[in-house]
Amino acid sequence: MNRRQFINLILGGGALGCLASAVYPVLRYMMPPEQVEADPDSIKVGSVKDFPAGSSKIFKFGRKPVIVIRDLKGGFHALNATCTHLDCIVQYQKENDIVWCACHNGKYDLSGKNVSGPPPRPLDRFEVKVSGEEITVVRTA
Amino acid sequence: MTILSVLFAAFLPFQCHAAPVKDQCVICHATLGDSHQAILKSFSRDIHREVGLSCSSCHGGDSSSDDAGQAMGAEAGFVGAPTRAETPKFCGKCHSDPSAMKKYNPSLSVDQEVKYFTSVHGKKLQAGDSKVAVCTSCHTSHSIRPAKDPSSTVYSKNIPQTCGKCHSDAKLMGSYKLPADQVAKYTGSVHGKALLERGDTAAPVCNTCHGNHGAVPPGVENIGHVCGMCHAHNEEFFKAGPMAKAWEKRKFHICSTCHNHHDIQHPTPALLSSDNGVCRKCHLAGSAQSKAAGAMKAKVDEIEGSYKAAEKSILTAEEKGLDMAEARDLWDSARMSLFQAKTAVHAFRPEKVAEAADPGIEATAKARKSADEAVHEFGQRRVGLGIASLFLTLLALGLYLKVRDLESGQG
Amino acid sequence: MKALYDAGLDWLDERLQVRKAIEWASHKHVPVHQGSFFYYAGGVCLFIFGLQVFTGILLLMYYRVGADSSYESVRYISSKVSYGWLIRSVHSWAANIMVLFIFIHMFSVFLMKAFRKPRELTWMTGCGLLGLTMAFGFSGYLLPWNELAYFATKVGTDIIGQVPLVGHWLLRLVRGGEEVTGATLSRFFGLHVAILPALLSGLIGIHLGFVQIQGMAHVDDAPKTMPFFPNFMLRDAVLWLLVLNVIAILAVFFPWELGKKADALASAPAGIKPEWYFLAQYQFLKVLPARILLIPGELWGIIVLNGAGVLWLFAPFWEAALPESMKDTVVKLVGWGGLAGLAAMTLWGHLS
Repeated sequence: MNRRQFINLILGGGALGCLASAVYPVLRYMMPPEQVEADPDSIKVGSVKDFPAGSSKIFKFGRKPVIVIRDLKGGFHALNATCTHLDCIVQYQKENDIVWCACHNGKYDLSGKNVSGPPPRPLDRFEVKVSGEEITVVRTA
Repeated sequence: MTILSVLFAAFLPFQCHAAPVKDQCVICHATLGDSHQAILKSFSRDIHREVGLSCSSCHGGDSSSDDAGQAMGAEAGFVGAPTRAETPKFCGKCHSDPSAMKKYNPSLSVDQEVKYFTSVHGKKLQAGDSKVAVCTSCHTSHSIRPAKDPSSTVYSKNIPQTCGKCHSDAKLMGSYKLPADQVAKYTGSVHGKALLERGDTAAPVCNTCHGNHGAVPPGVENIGHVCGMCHAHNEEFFKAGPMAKAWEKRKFHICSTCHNHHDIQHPTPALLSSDNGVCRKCHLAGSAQSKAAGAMKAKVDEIEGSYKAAEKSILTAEEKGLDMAEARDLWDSARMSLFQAKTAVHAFRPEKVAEAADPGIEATAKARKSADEAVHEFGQRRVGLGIASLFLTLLALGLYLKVRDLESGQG
Repeated sequence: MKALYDAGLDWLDERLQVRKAIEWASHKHVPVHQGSFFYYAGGVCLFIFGLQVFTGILLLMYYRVGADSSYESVRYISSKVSYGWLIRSVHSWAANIMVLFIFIHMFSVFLMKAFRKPRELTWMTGCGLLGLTMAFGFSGYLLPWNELAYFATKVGTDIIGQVPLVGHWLLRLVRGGEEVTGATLSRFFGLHVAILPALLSGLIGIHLGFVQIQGMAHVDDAPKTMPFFPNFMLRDAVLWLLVLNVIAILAVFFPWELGKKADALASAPAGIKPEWYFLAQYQFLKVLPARILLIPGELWGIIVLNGAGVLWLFAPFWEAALPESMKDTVVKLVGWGGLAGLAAMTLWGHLS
């Protein structure tokens, strides 16, 4: 191999390598990740059938847990499920029709207002939209 | 403010004693030396002053007269300063009268005096002991502020100090054969730290458990309810559990037997140690019960350990600038499990503790794994960079040689 | 191999007269002397612009503009998308390095007096390119919608409001309202991905066209030269590869942080500062007294900065009018003085 061939080999190898190390990350980048983007403006939480009166379920709204409640009269409520006292997750108590935090017995009414116990602030509210059978929880502005 | 309150007073049709427009009490007492002036000064910020009351509203007398004899004469209804024994009744003139209170603060209850006489303080006062606390001991005489006002002596953060005025006085408490270390113990307790260091005004303070006007020790029967106001599940599990009956028979305090009172510490798994934990107060070493305590301790230790380990991994990843939002969410959810596992201990059944702890242990393991993976991937970036740099350098070198080659040809 | 290369070239030549272009490029010469290094700075800027267009388009695949989505989508890019951190960090680092090379390019041209007749227009288009690049930097900085960017934009646009008479009108125009909001974000996004790229591409075309028409300055009086093609271009390519490698190293070892999401109600974090290339001007405005002769200090500052900018832009004209004996001294004084002043103010701003 003479000098010119050697240089061309380095050039060709280098160019191919550079191309590959640029194309590989770009192709990987363009392939969409399995998990679609977090932090939506609304989430679908299922159908009305899934919520008998006096039941509740917790969903992830982006990064926040949200409790969706169907009260005994059949109305829907959605609240941030993180207690404002020490960040425990609240639950729905159908016997008393209230939202309750087991950690220090904090209580909220179904509009999120703190009514007894240690919580210093109300729970943030979300809007619940029912269209046909489908229930959607929407961020309030 | 002064003008406003004078006007306000002038339009009130009836008060305990209506404040006159020109207050002769203030005019004379202002000339009477420091102690009188100090009272006037402190009263200027008193809640009673703010709603339009004046000296004569409580002390009686004729505040329009500039004749001392007439103004403070018995005919004018002058009562002067009450003795300690007279104080509850003195304040009760208005505070026990619903129609009087309605004019100023309809939402305030009117049972303070009644409650007071059910308290240890009130009973002793009735029995002729005038050293005990009366209204003014806690509320002050002339600087009274509502309990929600942070400058009030009865604002939650100020209460330990207010009660401590007497209850930390070892000599005074010694005469009642009472300890004087409650405030010191409380200050170092989990509740004291929450209130005084973290500023969580929801944390319990003296009167939360003892009541305020009806202050009594909660006693054996009631202490569970008192703690259960906030620690509802703990009470519920305990009362449904195997220990409740035995406790009752032996007249044990349901919470304080293990957790103490006043100096209640953040519970650690060490409480459950089968060697020197609180269970060993009754249960023999090697007994099935001691073993169960050990099993519960192991579970709580496990979730605490994995919780801490996950946090460490997440912090390591975050220090490298990696986004750990999801791992943090998982980790947050594990905190709830940790809480529940510790609560489940009060059912005294190891399987209950495991049931609460296991989802949290799983979540922390996941959080830790994703953090560790991110850190590993961060390390891999350098390998990738190394490979790319190698090719970039190779190509640059090739180009350089090419130029050299070319220029040697060009001469 | 060689035959294939020639055949390809022939094919292109028949259609596009490629050989003519190569022939022309090889007649263009670049002076060789101690300061030759600085001739590469402009090329690096061009290369990074290409890199920015490329990574910018890639970022657009996932970025979603909006007060509710900008921060989240950037977070998604840098945490969820494979190699998203790389693309984002390369884009951010390259932007800074591009500004740096523009400064190197500009000051070297000034100090070598390459702006003189007939290159006045080349100089002025270059000044325009600097302005556009800084606008690129300013608008792009806001797009992640994080706390630092939010407050830096607030402070930066506040200065616009100080301009007499039209200040408030300008402020509203830039912010799309009274405050920095989602409307500002939309504006800056449009500017950053549509208007500025179009303007910058056009102006780069003109700037390069001028350079081609005029050739390099000082070629005739240089003792030694080298052909632009292939000698200079190959050296250019070597430097580009080095710059790319440096950017990649920066991106890997110092990934661009995202910080907290912008919150209009949060109090401004301590020590909020603009990007380094605005720091000198910012510091200058900051240290002026509140009032000088009854007129707000900031207004004086804006007048002085704008005056200096105009003087800089018209350097080829006033320099030509100076007496021959003074020219060298004045250019040296203004060039080095300006550079030292900028560096000192930037350092002061950085440390304070």
